[in-house]
Amino acid sequence: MKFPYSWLKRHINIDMGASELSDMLTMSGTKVEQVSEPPVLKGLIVAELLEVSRHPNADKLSLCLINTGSREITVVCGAKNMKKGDKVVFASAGTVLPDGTKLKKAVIRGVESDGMLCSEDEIGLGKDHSGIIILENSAEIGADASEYLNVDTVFELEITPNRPDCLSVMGVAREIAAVKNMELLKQDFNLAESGEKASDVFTVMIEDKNKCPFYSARVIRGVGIGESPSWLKNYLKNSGIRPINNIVDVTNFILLDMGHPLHAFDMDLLEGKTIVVRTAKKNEKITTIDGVERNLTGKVLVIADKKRPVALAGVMGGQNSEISADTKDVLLESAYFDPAEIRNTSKKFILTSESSYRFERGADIGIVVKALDRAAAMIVELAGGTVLNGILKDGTQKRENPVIPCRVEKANKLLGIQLSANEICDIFRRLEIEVLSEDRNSIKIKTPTFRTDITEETDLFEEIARIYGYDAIDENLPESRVVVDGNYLETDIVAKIGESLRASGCSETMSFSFVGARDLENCGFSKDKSLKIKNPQNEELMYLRTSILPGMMKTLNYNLNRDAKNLKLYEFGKIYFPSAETDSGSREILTLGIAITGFRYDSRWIEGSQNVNFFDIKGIVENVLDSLRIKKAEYDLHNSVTFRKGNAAFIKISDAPVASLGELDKDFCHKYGIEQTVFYCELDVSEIIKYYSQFKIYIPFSRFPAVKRDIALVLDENLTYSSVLEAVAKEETGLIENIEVFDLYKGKQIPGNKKSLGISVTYRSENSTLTDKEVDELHNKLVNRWVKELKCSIRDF
Amino acid sequence: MDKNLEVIEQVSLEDIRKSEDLKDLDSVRIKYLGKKGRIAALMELFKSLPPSEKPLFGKKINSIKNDIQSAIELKKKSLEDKEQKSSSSGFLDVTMPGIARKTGSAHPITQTINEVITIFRRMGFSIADGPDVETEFNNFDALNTPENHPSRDIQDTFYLENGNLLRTQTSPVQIRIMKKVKPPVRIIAPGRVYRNDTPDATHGHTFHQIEGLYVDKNVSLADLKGVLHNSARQLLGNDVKIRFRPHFFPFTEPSVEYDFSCVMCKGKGCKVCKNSGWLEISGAGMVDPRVYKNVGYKPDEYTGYAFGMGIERIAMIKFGIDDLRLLYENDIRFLRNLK
Repeated sequence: MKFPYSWLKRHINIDMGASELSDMLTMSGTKVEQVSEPPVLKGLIVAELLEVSRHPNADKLSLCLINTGSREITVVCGAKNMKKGDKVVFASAGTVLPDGTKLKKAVIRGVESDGMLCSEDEIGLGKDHSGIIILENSAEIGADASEYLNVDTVFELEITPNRPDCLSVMGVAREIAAVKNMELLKQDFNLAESGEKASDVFTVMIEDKNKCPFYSARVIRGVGIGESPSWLKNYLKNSGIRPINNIVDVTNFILLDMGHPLHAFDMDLLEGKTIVVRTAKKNEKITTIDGVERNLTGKVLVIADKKRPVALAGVMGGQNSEISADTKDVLLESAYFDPAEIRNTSKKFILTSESSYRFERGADIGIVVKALDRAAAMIVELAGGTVLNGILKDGTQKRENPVIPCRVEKANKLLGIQLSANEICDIFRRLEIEVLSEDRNSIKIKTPTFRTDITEETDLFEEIARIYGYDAIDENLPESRVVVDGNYLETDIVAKIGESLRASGCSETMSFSFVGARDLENCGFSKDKSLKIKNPQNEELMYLRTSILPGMMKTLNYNLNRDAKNLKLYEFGKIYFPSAETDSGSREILTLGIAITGFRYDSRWIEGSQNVNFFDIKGIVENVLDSLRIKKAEYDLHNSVTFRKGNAAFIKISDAPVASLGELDKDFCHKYGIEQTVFYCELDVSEIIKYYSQFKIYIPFSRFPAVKRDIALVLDENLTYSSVLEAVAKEETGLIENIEVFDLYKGKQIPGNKKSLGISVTYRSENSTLTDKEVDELHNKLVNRWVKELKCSIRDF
Repeated sequence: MDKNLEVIEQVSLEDIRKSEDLKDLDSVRIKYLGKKGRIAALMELFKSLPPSEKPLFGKKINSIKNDIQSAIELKKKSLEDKEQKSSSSGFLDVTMPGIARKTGSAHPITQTINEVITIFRRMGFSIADGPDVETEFNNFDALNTPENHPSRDIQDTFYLENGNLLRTQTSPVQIRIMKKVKPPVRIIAPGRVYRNDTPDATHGHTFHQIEGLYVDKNVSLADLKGVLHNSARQLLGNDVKIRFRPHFFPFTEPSVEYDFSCVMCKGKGCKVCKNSGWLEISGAGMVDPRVYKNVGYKPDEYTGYAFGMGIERIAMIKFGIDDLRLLYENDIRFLRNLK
């Protein structure tokens, strides 16, 4: 909603500065988005064009002889839109333009020019530089041109959808009047009716009174179509509406001034001299004034003459009955339509107009006739003609406004303030809310017709707060009842995991929940088992992700392309699957992705330049599990399209798979433009949370000394380390405290299909010092078991 | 015999004196005190002596042994001192980088969410959660935003082919919680929300909000102001002011938009606050009784407030980020920068 300050001043006697007024409006709920102050114009003079001739040395330039009131001079001009006799805006040499340029005498292609004729953009009044400004012909030669120019402060307001009553200059003035406790200025007009009865000439009828409770119209005969005066054109232009002709401009003026949309028909083009408000018939069509042909159905409310629809009710008129230069007689419509009905039409045709915007939010049924009369009077004033006697109407303008009780104590308690019933009533009076009854505890009110948003007591509380001032409400820190925090677990565990990952050197990334069909395909997911967006922004954002991996690949690619080659990244996020078991139709799983690539160490000068491998990502994951005190994770080989064959594992806890990890497949990486070897892990956070042990329990340790024995086993290459450990577990002894692998060797000193594992075993008893002899016995037993069960041999050094 | 002993003592002391480094000294030690050294040889001799000579001889051997030992200890100390002082191989370049695994960084959005959560937990709020994919009912209807009302147009919604939608706000969590729990309810719910906006420096199709809800007996707008101001001070510093402006949200009445005073210019007006001195943060208000009806609360028994907080907005203010898109670009330089 946009309007110039001078228009507002027609409704209320204020003289605040623009920024003061802005603050006031913003703080009372009508937020000012922008204030455009006009340029300061000085030294611009009204001149008359006496003669226009071609510049002797340039085809595109003209020489203009002008009369400035004090002298006749020649100016060079590049515009084409002027003719002899026009009143133009002249800036002489020495004038300082709003952008700071000082005009100088100039010789242009051999002809001296003592100033210039101005276009809108040159003096900062608009963007139009298609030609120079032509003033109205009555402009006085030699006068200050700014008097005739469109110089005004323009306010642009954000009106919330609940306040259609503020979608007009009068509505905004009404807000100011309420806040400042002032009166509105009366908008007087004089409507003279001729002797001829309108009802003898025309009839109106409503078929569906639910959709259109009230319809009124007036007949105006013998108008002269033409341009509107410049004050009106400037008002409209400053409000963002294009002036068209004096009739249409009047309807737009009333729309912006009073907030009520009107429509003017060329009466001679209406067949059967009748208007019917009805739903459209099957196969009917209408071409609206924007030139679009629209197919109608039985559900659309139209304004029709005897034969055909002539307007989409409340939204837009039809071309078939539009006001044109030839229009003589006008049928002027003012009606009230059901908001939901207008919204349906507007949505159906994806067509919004100033009119539909107001009707769908709720127009003021109380001013329908007043708007009609004022517009009729104004048309006669600007376009001539006579208004026929009487108003054509159907339906009823009467409306039972809700009577709402307002409890004083409840209002004060909810807002945290202390107002008496009297003070509250004063606020209501300022808002034109009628107080029906009042005592110390309770007030009964009736809302004015323009406030369709107030339907319950709580709406009144907002009005009280608004006018009392949100700034004036004191702050309070409440004494409140303790609420038991039931849902700390997930947040806290995620925080713990994050800490562990950062300690392992990983940085957190965040990518979108959307992926493309190609991402699903790359990761081996089926499109049918993914959630699809009906109205995606583009193909890459068409599905909800079913893995963190695609986003991670894009992040890796982005950074690798920018020469960051050593990356350790993690991302927490939900992944989404269709589900019949939830009300939202989705199963959302909190998931963690970890990716590492490049060098292992930060301190390469001492630790060396090795690249990360499988055991780096495994180590990071082990730390994560450790941070949650999860002990029993099992690792097994895993195959999938995203991992390199034979180089990935999945992790099971109590037989439930919780994660997969390994080296990403080369071809897969290439699909994301990545050449470097990447190791990745994806972990189901919602699953591992189940195994988190909240409590730490102290386990007593032995005070007796330990004895270590080292051994190297030569085993089949395919025998796992865990099978070595499992063999121990069967050993019935509590005397082995720890087993640690300290070496893995493959090479010349042992057969090709074998590996050597260097293992260090720590023996310790809980209740005595072990003797060498005891340890030797234990160790021999263990080694023999290994040799037997794993079919391995012992390596001699 | 005695003379022999004296000679050994003298020669050994001379050897010790002449030792130039610890290695020399060690071979001297082995020569005299080692398993096959001179003193050990004397002990062999001692065994063959007649018992009458043993006591005296033994005493002498011990005395020589002690003398040699203490001489070696003394010499060792002086050699060590000397070596430490003159060590040429030991120049330590203390400016070389330390050996450490560099720690990673948390994403600025996570940092912000965690900070806000911590602040509200201290004020007794618990954490709630809801799905990103929501029903039309929870996201709109239950929040008093019926289908045929223009207030639905404020947000452009992503719809799913299954008929549900991506939540446009965290407010549906209010509905889920109130349907489950009776008052008092005091929760915050952080999460992702989605709107079909064209991405630019201040808009994205994805962003994060934290929803707050407190319903109990006698909760007031003044309480809301107090709680939000308190959170602002903890987030952005003690001198931050708060401003409520009347606004409209379908599910709160009265509704406000709240602003924090600009932390950059201290409210004087600058580029960041577009010269207004205020930073728009988000919306809040008293829960509309129409919402209570939708979740089965008695509107006359309870009052409460709800608020939203735009995480990206707060992160941008806190970290001085001027373009929202940086947050989702995941440039490692950006991420590590805000460690």
